[in-house]
Amino acid sequence: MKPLQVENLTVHYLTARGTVRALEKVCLELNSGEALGLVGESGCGKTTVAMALLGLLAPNARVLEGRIQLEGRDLLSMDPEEMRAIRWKKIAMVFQAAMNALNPVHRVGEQILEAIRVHNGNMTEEEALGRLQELCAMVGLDPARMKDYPHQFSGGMRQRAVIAMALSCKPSILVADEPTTALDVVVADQILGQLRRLQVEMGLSILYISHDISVIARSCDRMGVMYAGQLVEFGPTDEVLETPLHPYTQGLMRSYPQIQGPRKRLEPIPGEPPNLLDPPKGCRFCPRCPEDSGVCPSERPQWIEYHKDHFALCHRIRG
Amino acid sequence: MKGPENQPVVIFSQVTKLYRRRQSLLKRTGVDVKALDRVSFQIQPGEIFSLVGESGSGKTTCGRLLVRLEEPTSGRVIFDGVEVDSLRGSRIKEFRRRVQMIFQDPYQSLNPQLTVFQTVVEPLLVQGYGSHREREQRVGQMLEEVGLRPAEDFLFRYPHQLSGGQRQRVAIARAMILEPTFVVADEPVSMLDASIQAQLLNMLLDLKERHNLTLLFITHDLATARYLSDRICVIFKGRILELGPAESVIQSPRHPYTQALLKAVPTVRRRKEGLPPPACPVDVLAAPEQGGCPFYARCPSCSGRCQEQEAPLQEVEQGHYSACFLHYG
Amino acid sequence: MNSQETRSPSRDKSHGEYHKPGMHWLRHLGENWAIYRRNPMGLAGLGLLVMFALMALASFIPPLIDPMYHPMSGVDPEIDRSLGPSAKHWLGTDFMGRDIFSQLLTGARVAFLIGVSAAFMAVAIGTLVGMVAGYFGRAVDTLLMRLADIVMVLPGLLVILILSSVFGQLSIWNLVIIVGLLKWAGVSRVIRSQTLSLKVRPYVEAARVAGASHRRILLRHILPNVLPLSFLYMTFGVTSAILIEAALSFLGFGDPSTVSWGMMLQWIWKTGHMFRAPYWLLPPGICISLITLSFYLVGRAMDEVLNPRLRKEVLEQ
Repeated sequence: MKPLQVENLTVHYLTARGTVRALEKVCLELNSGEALGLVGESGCGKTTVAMALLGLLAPNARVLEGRIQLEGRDLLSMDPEEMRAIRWKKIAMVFQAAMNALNPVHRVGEQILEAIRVHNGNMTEEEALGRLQELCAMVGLDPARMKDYPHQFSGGMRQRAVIAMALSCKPSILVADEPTTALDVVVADQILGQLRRLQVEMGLSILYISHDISVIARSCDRMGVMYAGQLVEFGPTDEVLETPLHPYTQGLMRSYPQIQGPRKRLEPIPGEPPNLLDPPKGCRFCPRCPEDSGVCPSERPQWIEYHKDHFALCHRIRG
Repeated sequence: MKGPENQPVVIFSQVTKLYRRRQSLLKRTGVDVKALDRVSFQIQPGEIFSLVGESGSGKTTCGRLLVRLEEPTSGRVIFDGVEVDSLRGSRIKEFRRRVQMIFQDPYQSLNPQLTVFQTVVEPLLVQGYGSHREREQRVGQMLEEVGLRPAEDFLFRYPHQLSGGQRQRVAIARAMILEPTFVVADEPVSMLDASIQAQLLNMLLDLKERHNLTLLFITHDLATARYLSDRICVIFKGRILELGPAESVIQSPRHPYTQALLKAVPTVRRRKEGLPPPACPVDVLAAPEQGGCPFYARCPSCSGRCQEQEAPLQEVEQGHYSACFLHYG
Repeated sequence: MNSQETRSPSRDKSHGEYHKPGMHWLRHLGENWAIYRRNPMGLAGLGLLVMFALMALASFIPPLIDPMYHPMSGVDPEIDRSLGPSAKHWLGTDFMGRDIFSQLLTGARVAFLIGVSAAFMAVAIGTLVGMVAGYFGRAVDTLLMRLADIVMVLPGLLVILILSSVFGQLSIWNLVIIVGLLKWAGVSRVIRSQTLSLKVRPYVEAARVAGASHRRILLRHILPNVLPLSFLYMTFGVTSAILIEAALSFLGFGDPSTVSWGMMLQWIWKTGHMFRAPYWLLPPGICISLITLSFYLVGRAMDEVLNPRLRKEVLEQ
């Protein structure tokens, strides 16, 4: 039984301006001890996926279809009580810009301890402190610094603290939403290295969510590409990056300037992502796609396996 | 004011910028933050010069000093042969016409109460350009040039009705509308999605060609710096550590800091295998002032000397400078 | 590039001509009204205000019907004391035989006049001082804020009482000016903080880089972003101005030539009718409470309009 399986997740948000079709039939699965990446630009729905996994969807969200199986149990059909028991114990999350969410008037150690205590009601004080030491070692923080306040920590250290809080209850799955935004290149690299270490040594399954392909490239075994609420490509990271099938993925790869290799002119994808209040019929990427194979504007593409384990949502490509 | 062709258009000469922290109105004690420490470099006309550094390195401060948003504590910032700080009266207005800035945050750089038209026309109004008709025409042209077509669709929108990429285009239109000769771009794309970043980077290149601009491009991303620039300057904790032609700095970085930066730059193809060494967090907050190299705490190849003394910028190759004792015999 | 927004400006002009943003102001108003409308407190407050406004407008009518209805000088020839409500006098008469209802209507007019004028003055001064102090900083800031501190700690009522005993009876307009001069300080502090935060916004810096003068920056960039706050404080200021006037009039320091609700209360008290004539006592008292409440409610609802983060999303079901 896979730790995490998402089938046909479809989520809409009801707003004053209409219905935002945020996710459409998104399917994912996470293997044990694996790092899975979801890459996509703003508005593609990747954060909505994360929120759905943690049972933290906004009140105006409606799940129209789909199942999320966590160790065999369907998260979407659980009531808030059951969800609260699972959240943080089986699956935890590092939110976007979480390092800014540390309470500035409490010491860092105290905040991590609180995360430990809240979910482990019957721990003694010694056990909690012991766990704190463990967590510090796991994330690479100096235990002597636990008495400091958040503003005395650098950005990278704050991010480590937040990761420690997420790991306080030994979850088997960690969702990392933009774990390195706002961090400097060198520090970001260290954080990602630390996470990979946790994955390999502790068998932690990690779902990385980022708009930055390089983060996914560096950390993930398999990856999915999201566009306008749909998963448009999925497969082993090396393969997807080496031979991207979907025109969006191809366009995305061409949008990153490279350090190595010749200095070529970038060929970015023209236009902007669609408004999800009224997404295009048929293929959602079609308006910006350099190719057109007749049916694209009118028919929704199928999810097809083109090579082993490498899927794409497109009319154009032949298997 | 025009000198010979190869006269640098911008000169930073031993520029230091301190932010003083006052303990009280009367006493001038408290730790000063040294944003820039005797920074010196020159920018040639028609080039794209990138200033690359982490946050807190002082790169944004350089840009702000150049457009006169702040003054240097000591040293001189010179534009086209004239010290920027010494300008008075109408000379300032002329200066403002020739030097413009693009800001980083598209969500903050436009006044939310003004329409796109009002924002872009403002520099024209301030400089007293033309009639109302002429201004309208000019704004329309500028919007189309930055890719907001048709202009009528965008003229009367408010910032909250635009996407991040569109807002940044408006900011660029505002910076370009006076036809400046020099533009400071402070991380203009770092808050945008990758595909939009690429669009805007190409647009900056095109604008530079078409309008014969000189560009100071401030960024933390070496890959973007390499894509755009002729020369790259690496700054760390307020000091210039390396400076040279872009390809030279990227392909053969001399300073240990540049080398560390390059190793850490993520790529979209190469996947790193293997685990990092056991956790030992080396990110140290701004240490109190001490003599010596600012990179000392993190440098893998430092020696005792590095802690005491600071290596001056030395030419290691044609036009390529580095500030490290490793290069001394 | 396609414009993907659901609301796009109308393009009914010929190609090459761009039309003015004037119409968009109206659209702005429409959007804001939709937001305001959803707030029940705001609607209640607005309803009350409209009622009082109508009362104020209607205050001109009774004397036209019959001179005996004039609030100050109109006396019913047949009545020489305070009597309860009747067909001729809907709320009865005061101790002199004057019609209470027309006094009430006039009181509404006076309350609006005083409230709005005094509040406007206080807020105008406060906004100006706050902006200048915040924007220019340093010596100017210190000077102005110390001045504000002094003004803020002055006991307002006491000062007015002293002034009126020194200068004799104060007219309504004197009162308005004095209240304005006493109440600007609180507003100025808030406006100053807002200015400080606006001053460092990138769009203000962009204006500086374009060469905008201080005056232009203040008027074009700072003021419009500060006005919503000023407006909010004005609604609060109206309530305090009305209350001060009522208190003063009640204590006998008001303008005897004007009929206000506070004056009415003073007459009741002075002529010993406090507990004997509820038809006379209750109307002005209730009106004072309600009008201050209504301005306050409107102010609170305005806060939601002006501060987008306070808004609740309306859901389609």
